[in-house]
Amino acid sequence: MRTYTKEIQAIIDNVEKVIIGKEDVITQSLAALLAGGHVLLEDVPGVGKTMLVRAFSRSIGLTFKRVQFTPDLLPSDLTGVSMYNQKTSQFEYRPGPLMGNIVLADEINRTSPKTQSALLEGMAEANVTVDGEIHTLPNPFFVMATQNPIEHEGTYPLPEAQLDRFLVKVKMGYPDFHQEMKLLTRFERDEPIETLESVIGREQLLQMKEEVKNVHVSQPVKKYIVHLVQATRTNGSLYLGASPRSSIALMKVAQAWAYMEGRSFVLPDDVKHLLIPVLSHRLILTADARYHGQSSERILEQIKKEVAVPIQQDVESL
Amino acid sequence: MMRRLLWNAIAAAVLTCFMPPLLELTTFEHLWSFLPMLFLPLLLSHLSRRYFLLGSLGGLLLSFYLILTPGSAPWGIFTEISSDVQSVINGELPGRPAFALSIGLISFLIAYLARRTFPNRGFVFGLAFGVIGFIAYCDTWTDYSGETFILYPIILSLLLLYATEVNERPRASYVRPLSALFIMGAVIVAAVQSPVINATWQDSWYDLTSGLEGEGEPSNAIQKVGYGNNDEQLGGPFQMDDREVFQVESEGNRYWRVETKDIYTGKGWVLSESNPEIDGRGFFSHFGKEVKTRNETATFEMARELPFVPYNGDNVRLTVDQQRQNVLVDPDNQKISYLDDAEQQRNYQIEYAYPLFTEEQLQTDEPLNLSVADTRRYLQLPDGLPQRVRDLANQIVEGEKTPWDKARAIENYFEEENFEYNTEEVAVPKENQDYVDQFLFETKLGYCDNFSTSAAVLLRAAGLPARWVKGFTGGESDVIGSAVTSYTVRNKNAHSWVEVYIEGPGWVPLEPTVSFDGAGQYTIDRETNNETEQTNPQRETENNTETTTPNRPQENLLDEEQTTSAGQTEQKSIPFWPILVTALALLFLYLFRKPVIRTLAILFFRRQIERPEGFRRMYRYLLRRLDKKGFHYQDGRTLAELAHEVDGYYETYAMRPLTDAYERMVYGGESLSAEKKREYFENIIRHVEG
Repeated sequence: MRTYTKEIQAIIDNVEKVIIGKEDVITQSLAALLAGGHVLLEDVPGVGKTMLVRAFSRSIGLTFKRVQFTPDLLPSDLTGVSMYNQKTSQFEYRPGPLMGNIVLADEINRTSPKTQSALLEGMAEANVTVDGEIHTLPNPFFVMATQNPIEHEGTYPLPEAQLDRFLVKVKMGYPDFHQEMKLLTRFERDEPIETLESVIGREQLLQMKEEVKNVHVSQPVKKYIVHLVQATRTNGSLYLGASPRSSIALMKVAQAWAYMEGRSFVLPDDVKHLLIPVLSHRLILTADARYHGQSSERILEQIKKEVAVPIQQDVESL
Repeated sequence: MMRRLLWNAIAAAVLTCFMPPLLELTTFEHLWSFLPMLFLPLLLSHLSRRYFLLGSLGGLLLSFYLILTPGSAPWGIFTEISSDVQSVINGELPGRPAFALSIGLISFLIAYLARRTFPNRGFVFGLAFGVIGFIAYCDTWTDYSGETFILYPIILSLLLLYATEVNERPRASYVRPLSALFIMGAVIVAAVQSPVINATWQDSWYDLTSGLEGEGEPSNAIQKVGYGNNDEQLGGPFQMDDREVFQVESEGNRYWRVETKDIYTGKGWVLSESNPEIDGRGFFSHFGKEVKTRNETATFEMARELPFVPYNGDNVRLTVDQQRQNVLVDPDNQKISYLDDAEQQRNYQIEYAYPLFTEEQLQTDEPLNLSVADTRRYLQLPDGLPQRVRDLANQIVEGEKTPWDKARAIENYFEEENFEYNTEEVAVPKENQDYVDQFLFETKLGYCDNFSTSAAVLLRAAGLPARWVKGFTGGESDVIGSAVTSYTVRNKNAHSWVEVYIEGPGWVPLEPTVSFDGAGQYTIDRETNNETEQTNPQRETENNTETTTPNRPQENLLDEEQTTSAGQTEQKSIPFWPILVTALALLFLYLFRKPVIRTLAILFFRRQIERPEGFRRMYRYLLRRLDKKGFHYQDGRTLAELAHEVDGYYETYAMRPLTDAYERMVYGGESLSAEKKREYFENIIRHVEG
């Protein structure tokens, strides 16, 4: 059983009123939010992805926007357009759905690469360019993109370079029997999402994000991160290992995690715990490994077991 | 690899230990010719199957070559084996090749077993018990004597066990097996050094039969052969034997005589003639007419049938199931035996006349009135008896007036001259040496045969008719205080003494053997003579419950007059105490190693824990201790995970906070209060070393 700071626990409890038995998904998403990254939710429809994002935005008191990605969606549908105002004889900027604090990009792989890249630019730069004008996105800006792994017909799978921009990938998965029973009971009368109230405000969230940056990452932990990432690059089953960007991502999420647990320093345990959500979508398996039923999760599990945890400066003497 | 090879070698050495007894019992001569087939399979048992089989076959063939066909063509083996197998099929006993082949097969099978089970303590125990048991078997049932040799397989097996331990757990602690080995060694050394090591390893079977048939001394363990009625060659050491011969309920602690012998040859005793006759009672006219006797009854319960009837006194009547039995009585050696061996009884009762001599009767100075034949018999001395024995006899009895005083002087001579009772270092006379002469003038130590024979010879040399008596001492009493007491007589109670003939009282028993009090042979009648107490105090037995049987050599050392020899024994055993104390201390340390380690660790880190470096060292120590306990800190495991497991196992909450403090220090650069750390450390070390 993990313990979190009061604020984090409050958010988790709040979200859990709607999403039952998905603490890992909630906390990992929260860590990504605090670390200033974005989340890729990979799962089949109907497991509560939208509900999760809505609960999040309500709990933190942020504006929530949702975009359903379709093949005919244009970049301007996301970013917004400049329209000519006849009264003022001026082009005026009409912000698109990206101009929200929390954006749910539903079925991101259904739209054209062009539109995808517009989203990804916004995610990376925190601003969008419309007609040569740069518009800064609101702060915090947090994208939760969903992806359906089952259907491939008429989809545009995200290229690896772009997947790399998501800080973590989480899987919802189905609830178990009891959780589903509980779910039914809770939704029997009313929609609990409507009664959800915010537990922290925007300002507080921004302050927390600042504090996350101050979490100490010791030399042994950095060493551990590098060892882990390097292990993916030398692994025979992997065609593409994790990039240096993923090292940074791992460290940042670990910092956020440590903060959530109320620590001022990162433990190897944090890194180990977050390795799979942070790295699994960034790796490409060799055809052979895929043929043999390997998965990046399984390879990362193996790496976790193989890479030694540095327990002190002079590890070798033990 | 080296460890495995060493293990193989030790196992092969243990296996080889079963060969020496086997070689002694067969016509094979050299152990070394068997070594290839005993060692090679085991030595190669860790290699791949091909090398193992090839090596085993090679060893077998090499051994066969060495054993069977030295100098001739190697293929000669096969013709020999085939003819041998042929003869076995034809129902004959296997010859040398088949025998050697079976040893080779055993060796191969054991190597195969070792190969499949390694490392396995069960295998070691099986091998050790097999080999040691085999040696013990050979020692007990055959001519082979493995008294010292058996130490080798025991020590080798211990080594092998240790080697197995080391192989079983690669990072096992060396402390436990080493200390166990050390303690074993100390115990062995202490056992060897210890002065009391007599009745350990006996040749039981021979002792038993000799004790039953030989009526005389319990067996001569070293010489093993030539027992029975044969007393022609006396001398040599023997060992104590605790086996029960019979139980007897009697009215006092009595000596039980079996027979006498009359002719001394210079080496031992023979019987001049033997004319047994059937009679309803054993009446030998031991005592003169004026000697008062008391009728006593003794009920015997034999551990096994004996071919004779032990008795005391005279006028013996045997009753079985309340039926008076006729017996075979031999007046020449006063032996009572059964009419037929088939009639040997296990439970019977005897009635006998127990003599009550008076001091007055004994102190008579009547001239001898024996028949010529008897005089010759009981004064017989061999021609070769050295003159100095005769001189000594005369010297001892000089100044004594009555025959009884003379006899007493000779009886007491040995005690006065500090002769030593000893059953182990007793010499056998050299070829031209007289048995008595050697004892009287050279060795001056021996057991009852030496004393009784010497006394008999001295008595005869002094002109007193004497005969040599064999039988049993009274044994140990089980119940004390009642009128009829039950005594247990064992093989070690077999005894010999001497009887002197005094005209008047008749044949009076004497007990020359030092440290034996001769109780229970007769009683000086108090009612008729009150001076008895003064002259013969140790003969008084009516109230003697004999709680300390003096027959055993160890206890004789407690005699006051034997202090010098006891002192010597003590000197010899000086190394024993330090070794025992060391062994006990080691044992104590070993048994209480956990609290000791715990206390030392807590004391050691008490101050250290305050400094970061000390805390780090403490934590590293803790990790090592946990590793020994099976909580391995290995790749990919975080400290928190380990701590969780440790706390879960010991059902405590100490390792986690301690780890937390450590993590805080290493990863966070923070520090917890020393007080807390100390508390957590003491808590967890109490569990780890508890």
